[in-house]
Amino acid sequence: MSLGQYLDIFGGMILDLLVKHILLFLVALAGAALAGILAGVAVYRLRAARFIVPVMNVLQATPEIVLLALCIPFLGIGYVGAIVPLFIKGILPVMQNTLSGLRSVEPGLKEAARGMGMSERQTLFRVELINAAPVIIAGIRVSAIMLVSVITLTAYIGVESLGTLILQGIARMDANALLVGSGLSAGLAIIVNQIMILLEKTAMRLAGRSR
Amino acid sequence: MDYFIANYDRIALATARHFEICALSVALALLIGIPLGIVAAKVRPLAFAILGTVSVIYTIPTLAMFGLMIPLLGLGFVPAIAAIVLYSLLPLVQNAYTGIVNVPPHMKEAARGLGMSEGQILWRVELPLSLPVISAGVRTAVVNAVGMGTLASLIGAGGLGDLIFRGISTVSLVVVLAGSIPVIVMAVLADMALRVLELRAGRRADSRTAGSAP
Amino acid sequence: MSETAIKFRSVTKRFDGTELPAVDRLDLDVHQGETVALIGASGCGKTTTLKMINRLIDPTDGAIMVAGRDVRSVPILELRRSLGYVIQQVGLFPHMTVAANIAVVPQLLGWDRKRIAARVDELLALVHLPPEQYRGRRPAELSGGQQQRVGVARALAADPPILLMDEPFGALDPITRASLQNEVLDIQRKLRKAIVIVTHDMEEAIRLGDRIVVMEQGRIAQAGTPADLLLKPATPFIASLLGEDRAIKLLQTMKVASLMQAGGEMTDGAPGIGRDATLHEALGVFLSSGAPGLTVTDEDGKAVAMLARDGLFRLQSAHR
Repeated sequence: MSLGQYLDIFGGMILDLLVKHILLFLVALAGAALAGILAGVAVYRLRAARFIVPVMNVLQATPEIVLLALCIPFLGIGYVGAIVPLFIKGILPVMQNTLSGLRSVEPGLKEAARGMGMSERQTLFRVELINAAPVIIAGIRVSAIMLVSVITLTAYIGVESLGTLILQGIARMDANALLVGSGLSAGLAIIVNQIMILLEKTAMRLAGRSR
Repeated sequence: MDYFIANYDRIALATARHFEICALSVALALLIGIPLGIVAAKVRPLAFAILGTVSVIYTIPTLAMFGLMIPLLGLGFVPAIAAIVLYSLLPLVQNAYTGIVNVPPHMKEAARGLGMSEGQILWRVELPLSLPVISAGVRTAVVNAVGMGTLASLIGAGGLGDLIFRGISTVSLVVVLAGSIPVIVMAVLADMALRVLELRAGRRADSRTAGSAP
Repeated sequence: MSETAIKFRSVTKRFDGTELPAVDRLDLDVHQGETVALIGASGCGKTTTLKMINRLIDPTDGAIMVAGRDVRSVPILELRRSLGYVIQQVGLFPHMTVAANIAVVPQLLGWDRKRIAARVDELLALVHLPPEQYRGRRPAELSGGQQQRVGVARALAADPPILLMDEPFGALDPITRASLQNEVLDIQRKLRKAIVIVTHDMEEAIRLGDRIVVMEQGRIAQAGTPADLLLKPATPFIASLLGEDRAIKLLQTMKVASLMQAGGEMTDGAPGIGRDATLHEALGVFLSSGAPGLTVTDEDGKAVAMLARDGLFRLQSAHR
């Protein structure tokens, strides 16, 4: 059937999958961003947390599908099975960038803040994190794009998302399903990317930096 | 563990196939991507278009990329390679561009004053100085390729994905592991080996920032 | 009369978007064996002038001749490989050793390996960097002064008759700068190149230049020997460039031999001064000894003439 007919007939299902995809994305991103920032700050401030970095390097080099597959025996299929690997994959870029961003804050700024009498925590929140914000948001952006992509893969473990359409398309050699599934997820990724770029630029302005 | 021994031939075959796919894709991506990066750096009006296009391609979800290749190129080896090559372009183009653009202008002036042609300047000054950045890009591209290679099995190209997906559908952890472990090992080995190369390229790679592509 | 190495004939350079030309109908000759210092305020056109010689910038009008040939008639790479070029930021290639850096132009010219290696050692010795120690080092391991010495060596590698220098010592501390200026004087004494050096440091111009060309708004405001300028600055601006102490600077440019009088009254116990010393040094001896006259000696220490203190003080008026 033609693309138009396909959309007519399955429009509702497509929309449903799109919404599910976006919701899962938002939840995963929020969690990964938060956890990533915390982890980044932890490694930055606590010597004990240093061990996280090499572990994360290995996890980052691991392909997403592998991570998903390996979690199934332990977490089963469906949302729960998906959310943990998504989390793990999503945290790393944020953590790396948080760490890098904090480390690259001009020492002069920290010195000035401490000299004025700010406590460690105040320095962290009001000076260091603000200045590291653009880099952190860049990390969240990388994470976001990756998550949109990985979520399509979760179709393989039974999660309903745009990936479901793609898999259907492959299984049935259905060009319509392929186009819609791929096209929408690609479009979603691009839109998310553009939004994040805007956020990055805003953060740079707020931090008082020029590129 | 018996599975490994019993089926080592299948595992080895899948691994070899996986390696084949990734190596070929990366090689092609290098051949296309680095010259593109150089062009973007040298022909400024084109930079925006080249980097922009490559960036957009990169944001497309990997599965979607494979999905889009099927109507165009069918199933099998060719669409898999095509998808992975496209996806590997950004780190290579971006880093080649950044490396060359960041060569200090006075170094180019000195080279020009000495009587080097533009080609000689590119080959003997700009590219060597960009090597660390380009190496970092190659590392990203290779690790990505290994990962994407697992999905290649979905479109009939073979590779370790075959084992992984079979393991998922038969709910067999052993089979999943049989497919996953070689992939992880490949990815980690490649990552480590390329990090060493990067270090040798003279400057310590900044391994602490995930890509901040445009 | 030595031949003219570089000739500017009515050379003009206009940049897009600016009304006034950066260089305005410039006529200038540089002879083989002499050092010409181009000096002036920022934007006067001195660097533009220099860069038109090796065609990093091309003139809008007029012609530049190098060794008798119009620079535009020579293939540009050949031209640049036949000129030595030293810039302020040095521009040594960090990924190459010192030897490889120096070898760049000879390699471009196709010299064989042995010849290049010998030349590299020769040049390192010339700039007082022992070859065995410095050959294999990388630029990052060298100090600023050492880097610029290598820069000079690199420029001289193919033995070009002309050396172009664009504020070469501007980024160095005064002590290193003085040391490198001495290197240049030394090299010039040995090699007799035609050197064009752009500088904004009048002391440097006086020290190094056989002739100084002061530029203003793309034109020559005054050209002449250091003594010419010091005695008769053409404008108040040039006078201020030379400094309030230009009468004393003048003494630095003149030798005792030029003012001594043979067979004058030899006062017993008068302090001695070499005939090759500058009048500035003589002034120092006059001030510290209080003597009205000095005995001038030659290289063997034999007294040959007398230098009168009055003569020193009447120098300026004698020239008016």
